[in-house]
Amino acid sequence: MPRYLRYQSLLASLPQRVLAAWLCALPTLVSAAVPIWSVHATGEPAAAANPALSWPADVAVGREDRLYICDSGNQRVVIVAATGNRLAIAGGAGAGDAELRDPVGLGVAPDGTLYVADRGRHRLVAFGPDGAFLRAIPLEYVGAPVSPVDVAAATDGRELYVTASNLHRVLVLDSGGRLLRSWGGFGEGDGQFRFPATLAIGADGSVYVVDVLNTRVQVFDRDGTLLRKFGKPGVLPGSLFRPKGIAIDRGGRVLVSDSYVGVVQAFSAEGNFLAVLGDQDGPHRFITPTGLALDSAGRLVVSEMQPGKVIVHELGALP
Amino acid sequence: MIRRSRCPWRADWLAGVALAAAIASVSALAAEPASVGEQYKCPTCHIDRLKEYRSQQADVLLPEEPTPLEPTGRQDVASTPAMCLSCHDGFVKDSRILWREGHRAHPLGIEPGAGIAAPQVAGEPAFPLNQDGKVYCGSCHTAHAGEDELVGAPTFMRMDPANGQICQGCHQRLHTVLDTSHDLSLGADRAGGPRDFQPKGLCGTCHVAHGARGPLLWARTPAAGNTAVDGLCRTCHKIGKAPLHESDHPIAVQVWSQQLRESVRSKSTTAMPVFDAKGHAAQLGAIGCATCHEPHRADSAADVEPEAGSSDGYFLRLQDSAGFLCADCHGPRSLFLYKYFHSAQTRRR
Repeated sequence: MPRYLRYQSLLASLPQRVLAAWLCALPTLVSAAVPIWSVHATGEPAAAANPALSWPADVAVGREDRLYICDSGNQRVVIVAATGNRLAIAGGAGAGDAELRDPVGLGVAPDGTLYVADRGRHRLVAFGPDGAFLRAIPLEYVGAPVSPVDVAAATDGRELYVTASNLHRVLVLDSGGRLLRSWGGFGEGDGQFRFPATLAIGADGSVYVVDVLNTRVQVFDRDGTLLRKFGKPGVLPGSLFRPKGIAIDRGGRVLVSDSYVGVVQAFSAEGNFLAVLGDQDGPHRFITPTGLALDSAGRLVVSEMQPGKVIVHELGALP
Repeated sequence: MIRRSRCPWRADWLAGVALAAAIASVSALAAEPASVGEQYKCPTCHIDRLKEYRSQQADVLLPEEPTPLEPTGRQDVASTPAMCLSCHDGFVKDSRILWREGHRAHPLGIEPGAGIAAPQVAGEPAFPLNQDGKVYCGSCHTAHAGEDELVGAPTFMRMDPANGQICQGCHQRLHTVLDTSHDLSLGADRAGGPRDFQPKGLCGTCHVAHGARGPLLWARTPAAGNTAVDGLCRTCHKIGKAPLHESDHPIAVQVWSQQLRESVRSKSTTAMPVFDAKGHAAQLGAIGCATCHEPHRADSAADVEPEAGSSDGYFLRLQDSAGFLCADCHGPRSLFLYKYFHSAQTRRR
């Protein structure tokens, strides 16, 4: 008798209640172990910030491992040295050139210039590495004000990439703020966006864009040609629900934070799912993780908006 | 890689499932593949409807949260602040100002007061409270509502705010100003106020739920006034410009009379409050315009066209009190005192 017929006859002979219990147990029988990339917190560099951080949306690491924290609720950027000492404050609430309104993303150029996506005032603001105001770059696209969410500098520092969330586009500016080109548009097709958020630049100059409501990451060359994409909606390992932050490590692995699910996942450069950051108990539960950045030692900095924390994590070996 | 537990019959079972899936996929080829947005439309917020939960995947990153979260049945996971914030955090839409400390907005996280009477529709609350019985985002907004044409942006209100229904649904004690001279939706010039008032509905012309510029959710920057409440009145009723009937009654004086104290305590519609510096009714405070006037106290015909010699109209808190208004605060003795000692006509003699 074929094996499947033997199982069929076995099932038919089982009382209905036993069958129901067996069906309920089925999911556990096919349960899976989520691959974990070990991570543990090593410190909270801005814990002594006064006032305390409020809605820290993004983080960036500059030269000498200087840490920049977009303290968006306080309308400022907190600058912390690698030693953990607070160095300076950039921005602040107000309407002055150097002041910010609802900033979100940060980007550091190769020369150390810090760029802030000043969303509420539709502009980029450039600060020196120590927080000295340099200039403001008003953002417009075909006469419409741009609400920037993030900014990243090209590896050669000649171009700035900006996500225009309200226009669902990526804008490319020269270092003086002149619009060079753009790509995108609202939609779900290749190269289109539904609310592009954070950006990261690969070692080869490719532009990684977190496409939040399309629950994916799209990778472009510097001219806007789509190279690849990865991510799908859901809460399975490798799926994305509210992808927000992105960082690329030296090995080209892509880390993506998910602010609702509360995890950080790792993908290969090609977009294959690798692991979820966590420990022996399973995935590490961040609370509304958004901004990600890696320092020169490969440590991961994560900003958690709701609790107002920025924590540095040591990463172990990939499974 | 994902590791799955071994089971002797699993290969056959999976083969059967795969065959069924293959048949289904072939039949589906004729249909247009659904877009990500369509597939994801409901689970964008209703996370419990993700297919992972339907297929009972055991390796999901987020445990299924049943709907509703609490036995109260008042709230499901889709409407929790965490879900709202997952988009409205500045990365998709920016509503962070609503959480900002000091931001003047409709209060959240409070239980409705005794004077609030939230209506019901088909036995369900029209403006639901959260699982703790407190006001939250979902009390006024729902993601299932459409675009608000009045505002010109998707505000996802539970009810059309144009004629003040959404406000008055709960705030029933604030009598409507419909068709009175405080109905600026008909045109600001009716009240002699600033012409740059943009009509935004019955309530919305003067009040906003978010980003208010003065107390009582005032929509405009208040003019200078003796009290914060006066500043709201003087936004339109400017000195030297009609129609301001500047009172000879002393204002901005600290008052603590038994009558006023009792009237404040009673919280009746005819209470005559005095105000602290922030514009809140207080037992010890200053007389302001709103001590005698209630801008929402509508007696439509009288307010617009008061009869000559009558104290009716003018949005007075105490109607039908011609000749007796002083006595409401100062007692019967004031009628005699005013007539012979404080009367301007007597003084001129």
